[in-house]
Amino acid sequence: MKKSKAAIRYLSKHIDKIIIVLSYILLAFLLLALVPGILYQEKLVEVGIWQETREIKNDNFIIRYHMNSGDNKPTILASGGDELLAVDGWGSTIEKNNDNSPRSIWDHTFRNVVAPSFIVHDITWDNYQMMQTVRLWENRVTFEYKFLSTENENVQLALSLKHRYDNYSTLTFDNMKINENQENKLFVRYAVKLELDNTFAAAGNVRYSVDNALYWLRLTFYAENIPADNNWHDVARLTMSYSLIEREQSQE
Amino acid sequence: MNKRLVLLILIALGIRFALVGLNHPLDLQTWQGLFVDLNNNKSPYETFEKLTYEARATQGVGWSQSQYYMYFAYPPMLIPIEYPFAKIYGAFYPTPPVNFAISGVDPYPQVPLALNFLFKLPIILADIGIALLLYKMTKRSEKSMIAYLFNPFVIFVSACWMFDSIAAFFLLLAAYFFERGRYDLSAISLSFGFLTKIFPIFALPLFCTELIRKRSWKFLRYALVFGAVSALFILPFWGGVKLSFEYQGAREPSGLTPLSFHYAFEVLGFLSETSLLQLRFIILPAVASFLLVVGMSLIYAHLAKKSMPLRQKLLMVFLMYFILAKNLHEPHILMLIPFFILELHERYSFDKKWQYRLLWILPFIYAIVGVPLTRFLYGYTMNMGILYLFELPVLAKGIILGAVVVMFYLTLWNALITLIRGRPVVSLEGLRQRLKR
Repeated sequence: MKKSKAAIRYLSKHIDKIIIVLSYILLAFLLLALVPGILYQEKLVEVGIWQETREIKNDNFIIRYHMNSGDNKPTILASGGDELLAVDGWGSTIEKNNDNSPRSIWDHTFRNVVAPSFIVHDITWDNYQMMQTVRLWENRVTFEYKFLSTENENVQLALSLKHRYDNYSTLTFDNMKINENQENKLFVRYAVKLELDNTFAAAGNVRYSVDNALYWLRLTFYAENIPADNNWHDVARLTMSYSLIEREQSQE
Repeated sequence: MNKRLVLLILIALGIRFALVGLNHPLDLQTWQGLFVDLNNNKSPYETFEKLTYEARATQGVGWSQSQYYMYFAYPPMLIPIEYPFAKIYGAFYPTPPVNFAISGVDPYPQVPLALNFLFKLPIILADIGIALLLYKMTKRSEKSMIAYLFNPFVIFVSACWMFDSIAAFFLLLAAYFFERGRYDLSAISLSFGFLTKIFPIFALPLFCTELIRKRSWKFLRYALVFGAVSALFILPFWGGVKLSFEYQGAREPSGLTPLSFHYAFEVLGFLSETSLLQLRFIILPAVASFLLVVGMSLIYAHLAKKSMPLRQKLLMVFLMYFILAKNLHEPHILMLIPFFILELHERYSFDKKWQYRLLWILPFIYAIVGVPLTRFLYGYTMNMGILYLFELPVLAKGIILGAVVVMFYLTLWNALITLIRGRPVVSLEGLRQRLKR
């Protein structure tokens, strides 16, 4: 009892100093937490996402991929030159500049060639496949996406598109749902949700190839009345991001 | 309770109910979503997580703010508080539409008046609770009660904007119980405050050191009760609460803090985009974290052995917290108001009166210019000319908001120093005397 009283008396007497010592310890922890990269890396792996940005200019277009694929390395197959671009782990940025072949047709296919252990928000990447085709000519560029669930499961995939609008360009959509919120249109951003309906798959239990996937969308971006000396210059800049957001319960 | 008191409360209720149709558009979207989620017995954190992933899809892998969707990113206390009201709402509107705007886009949800009324009922009742507590804690000072009930800023925040009054009520209740030696009840109340809005937790070290100063081991029990109650509410929602805390931690400095000077850098084009991002999301939050630890430790250490009323110490702790806060938005200031009213009641001075006034008038001006105020009218009109009537040109707005932040920050320091030293750095009383002469 006496010891307890002595202890609290001591604590009471030195509480201000104890607080200062504790604050030093807390500051030390803060320093540790701020070691660059540690927390950020963890967050990125958890999210699993990629983003692509296109800038189409007078004589070339640049396509950038910002990818987070965890420890795995997806491959990008570029049909033009049969190039194989390897991505170095998570958070990589690669840049493909087609200076040598301006306004060429650019097709590529994403295929996740890695083991199924890479989990993104309760779904494995290799349960779906996406093929993207981009065609570019005079004043029009078309992006075509095909999505496929390789496991015949009811997978919901969200694709959102942010579009920097200017006086020269308009954006049209085919075969897709557009968020109809009037207010959102004021800000010229579009969100598109593509829902993969698995009824056909459930009935026939058919496995598709990505080339004849049922669910696809085509984004057509075209510009009108562009001044001759300004073709494609800063006209088109599109940022697209994809993430698999959830896997619904598969049907029996 | 005497008739006059009842009449005052009824008038205060009447004013608030008359204003429930006004809302901050972004926050109303959250309240609407919360009601729909609760009515569907769904955790709002689940929706928050889903919207966050969609936001990441929209914005891509970017910095901080774009990594999250601004939805229900609070501790979980609002869930049990609003649950019955959401159910009542659900009985009348079983399948209400809820349409979340794309991340980064201003939403303008149109909701029935019933939603406004029901959601804000506990907030408004918390206001009444605070007024009654002030009445009790000031030995029946009607003036103190009126000062809170009819403060225009309090009315504006509670009737039109945020639920800070609930957190303030629990904090004040914790102080009330503590002063009466009801430590368990105090710890539970403080925990409820923390579970409503995070920052009442900064009172916990103060309550504990008060018990230590009195040479009582009860501080251990106090911390234990606080921790147990908090865990009881947080653990079932652990993933969502973690995501909410991550979101709050990742926000760029904003609001009434000098750390929000980075907006001026953006407007004036002082830094490249990359440098600006580094400043916003790495350098300033890091500096803010260090300052918070240092500043709060100093105030706790300073107060730990001081013999002064707990309520005055609480005011000092929160003044210090607001000086150091990384994100300090207008409604947060409501937390100071009841404690300042108590201080004015017990140790009135002309300087303190003006410090008090400036501490709510300046955030009010910040909201009027910053939101701007006319946007709260969107429930009645979607005419952009009216909604953005108070919207000033960027430079003018920046100058006014910057001036308000500087004045507010200096007032916080002046008020804190007044309480520490017993006299202000800048004395309006002195100025008044000189002018008289």
